[in-house]
Amino acid sequence: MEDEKDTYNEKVSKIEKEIVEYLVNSPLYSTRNKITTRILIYIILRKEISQNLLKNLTGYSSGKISQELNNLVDSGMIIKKKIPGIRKKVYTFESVEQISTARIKNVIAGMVKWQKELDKMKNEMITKQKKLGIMNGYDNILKVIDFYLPTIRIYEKFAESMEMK
Amino acid sequence: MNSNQTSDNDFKYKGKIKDYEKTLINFFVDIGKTKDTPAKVQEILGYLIIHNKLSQSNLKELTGYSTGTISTTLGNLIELGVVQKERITSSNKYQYSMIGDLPKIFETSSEISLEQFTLLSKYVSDKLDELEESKGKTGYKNLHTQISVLLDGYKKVSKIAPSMTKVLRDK
Repeated sequence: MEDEKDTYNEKVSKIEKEIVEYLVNSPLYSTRNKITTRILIYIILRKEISQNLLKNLTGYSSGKISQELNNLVDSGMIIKKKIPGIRKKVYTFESVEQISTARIKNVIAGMVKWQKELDKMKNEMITKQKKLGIMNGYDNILKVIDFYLPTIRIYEKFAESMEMK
Repeated sequence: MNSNQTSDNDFKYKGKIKDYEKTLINFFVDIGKTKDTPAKVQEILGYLIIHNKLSQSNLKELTGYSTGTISTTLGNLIELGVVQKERITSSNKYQYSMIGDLPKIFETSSEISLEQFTLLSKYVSDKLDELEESKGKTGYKNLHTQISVLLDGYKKVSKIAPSMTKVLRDK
């Protein structure tokens, strides 16, 4: 892979880096994977960026960056674009809202996958209440399922309404 | 035993209940993958959601993570405003719990906190002002445009937060 130097002025680049690091380390993103977040923020701040330049800016290996970019493309948050005429590919995005919407939809889709399993668990717990109801933790587990099951259904509808907008 | 104190083994579920607990933890870890949240964070959050209150040593036993990992993760979650710690009466130990009821927990752990969006927007706006000193330099124009795109995006995304929370509260 050919090395691609950053053409940005040093001061501009410094401000960009400070924004990236502030966001990566902010509480809002603190529960997220820092590598993914760092790459995503660079894509937003550059509008479009090559894998080589990302390697240069972040210091991550080509393999790591490639894996993260593929995941982000698969999740619908970013887009891979070919530059016509040359063999260069860049990564870009539609809008910040699109990134957030794709994330929310992915989370909801991930939850929907579990609906059947949680339903089955709840039914079993209720059927065997006489035996299991006296056990430590029964109420706690049931309370969590009782919250998440309807929540998943509501969010499924929410995701559908986002699709329609 | 004090009312805010759990007995030494209350947090250890047995038999079928332990299996259900494990399934719920797998559920939390799995949905964490879709939002890039590390498994350790989701496991700790999951156990706190299920048990209400746990000490660091309880969490260590349940998750198998080191004291350092648990302490750092809890510190981040406290800073994020998701978790709180309180001293166990007549003890020098602390126990940790989620802040708010389940809808509130869901809102904050879904990263749709309005307060956080406001803080980030303020920092990024200040950087936009700082960038003015580099007007005309290479990269200035693109970064200036993209910071504005980011700020505008935060504004729009933060409007999703109340609508998501409303849907949950109305259920």
